Amino acid sequence: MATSSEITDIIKAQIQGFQGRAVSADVGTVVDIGDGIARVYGLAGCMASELLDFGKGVFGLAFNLEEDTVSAIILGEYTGIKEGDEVRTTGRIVECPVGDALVGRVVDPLGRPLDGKGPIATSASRPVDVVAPGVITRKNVDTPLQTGIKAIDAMIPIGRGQRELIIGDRQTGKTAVAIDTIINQKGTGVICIYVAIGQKESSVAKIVAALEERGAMDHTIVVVAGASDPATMQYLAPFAGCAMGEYFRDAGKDALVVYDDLSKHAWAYRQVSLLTRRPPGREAYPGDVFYLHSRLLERAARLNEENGGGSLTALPIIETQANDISAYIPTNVISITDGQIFLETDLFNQGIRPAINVGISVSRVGGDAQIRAMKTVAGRLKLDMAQYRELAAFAQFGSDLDKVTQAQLRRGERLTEILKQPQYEPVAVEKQVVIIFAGTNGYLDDVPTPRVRDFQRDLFRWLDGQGRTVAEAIVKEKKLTPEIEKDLRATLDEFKKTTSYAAASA
Amino acid sequence: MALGGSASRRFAEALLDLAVEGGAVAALRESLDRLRTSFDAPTIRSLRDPGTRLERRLAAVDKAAAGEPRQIRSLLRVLVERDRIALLPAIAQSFGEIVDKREGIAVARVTTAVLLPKEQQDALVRRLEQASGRKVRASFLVDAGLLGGAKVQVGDRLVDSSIRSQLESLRAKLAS
Repeated sequence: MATSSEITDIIKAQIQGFQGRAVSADVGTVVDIGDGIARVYGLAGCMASELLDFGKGVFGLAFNLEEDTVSAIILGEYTGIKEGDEVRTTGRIVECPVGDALVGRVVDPLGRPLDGKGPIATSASRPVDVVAPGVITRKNVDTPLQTGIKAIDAMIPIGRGQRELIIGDRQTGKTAVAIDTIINQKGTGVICIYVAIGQKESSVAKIVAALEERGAMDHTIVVVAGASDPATMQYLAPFAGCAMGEYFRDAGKDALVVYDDLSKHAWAYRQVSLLTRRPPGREAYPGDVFYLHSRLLERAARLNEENGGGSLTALPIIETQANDISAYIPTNVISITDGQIFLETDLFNQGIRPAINVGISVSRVGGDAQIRAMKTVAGRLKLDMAQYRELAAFAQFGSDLDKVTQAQLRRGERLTEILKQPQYEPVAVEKQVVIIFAGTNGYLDDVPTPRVRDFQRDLFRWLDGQGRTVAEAIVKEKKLTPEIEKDLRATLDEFKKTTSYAAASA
Repeated sequence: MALGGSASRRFAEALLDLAVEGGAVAALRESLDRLRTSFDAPTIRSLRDPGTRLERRLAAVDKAAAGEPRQIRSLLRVLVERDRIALLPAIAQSFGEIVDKREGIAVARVTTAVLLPKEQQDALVRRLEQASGRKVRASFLVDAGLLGGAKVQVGDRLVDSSIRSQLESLRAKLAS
């Protein structure tokens, strides 16, 4: 503890070291204010997107530069601003603090702490809206980002530096997919940034609690612009989250940023655009709403070795209304991203969770990033699942099917069962390889469907114990060499001798 | 510093074009400044009153502006006919600003804690003219709250070297 005399000394030193100098700034006057938008007369030398000082610690962002006024969006509380107030330029573009000190914290889009854990000790800051890295600094996506979700890692793989959209109706588990992915990054060195845009504070609190409980806050930053925060903050939040991620990307590390969700971001942008009198376009969104999202998502990148080799992966989330993916914002973001994961209410209600429609979900670049072992087993899985979907629709009408068809249906049912996964339980990639291998190679065909989960649970436990050597070999080699495959078959045979799942159901 | 909007500026620009052709810029400016004070809110309201016939209102305007230049009288008639007479103060303001800009005159506002003696004022104006490269028309204000130093605003550019703002930035620094 500092004594009072020490404090006095510190203050003395600060006062002595203080050099008052003349400040020079462009000034203007507020002519009208409302809905978080201020029109300011004057400010002739104001830059686009410049930070404006409204006094009393309130700042704004120059949004529209007009003939003799500037429309500014107020960042934060605007009720203290009056008509006639003086506004000064700051010569700075809107920035947010970045750095390792932010990890584990819950902050607002300007980097101010919201978790009551005291000030954030970082002096570094970055502009929130910067131009994305260019062609020559980039590299192919070639390293996997394991989500720990079997259906995704096997069939819709995501690589570091990719932009993969998570899209679906409300209550289909979009956030759950993102949160599981964050939890699975524990111990991989990937820093995660979860950006909550326009969400209920209670949902955010629940997510933070879930992350904390599973030790995932140690590698995560949560950026919150809640439903009650001004639209300007919601508009800024993903850009701020992205800037925080870029710090790690440019430092040669790997980062993952989740934007939950960009539909609400588009609404917030529509609100500020309409209030600043920008002309409305389709669905009343401003004309540059596509550019808004493309410049944000373009900042996700995998840098080449000369530039540190870091990466920033983006998982934007879009909420659709009644499965309508042809609405304006969904089509925009689908066309920007490198693939999408579709979640559907029907599947969710059938008990297929995560409710991923593997038929129409794609990953355009992630395949290169899969480990070889997974690629080997996933190819077969995709084929079996595709055949199953085709037959399942057809088989509903008739009961006398030939043997081959019946076998395919049985296989498909078991594979569907394998791909189900409870929330907050990511699975390590070697275990995924083993269970998918077992499923596609018929080891499950004699296990009744309701017991597939028990089989899987026991198998995973077995892999932690007696079957450890095979699991370790897959992790080490990253591919299924003939020897490993032989070992794997032997291990599965051995495991199947321990319990008879068929008998229990009879 | 009133917000003119674009309409008043369009009128002012048109008037300036006429004035340059007629070579009577200074006369028109003086005339506008005179009229600006005589056309107060109640006068303007009665000139916009549709209960009075237009001819009578035009006659009233003609009478009020009898001694003014021809262009100004026409301007007033146009404004009354189009129901834009309320813009007159804004037009006068814009006209002044446009003329200043054309002639390279910058308007400066100097605020100090105590009134500066005449020679210091002149010296300051000369310095400002050197720095801005334009002619400076300065007005001098006194605000004891500044404690010391000066606040100089030329156009939208503010240079604040007052003791008060320095104390405030010291306060902000200590509090952070």
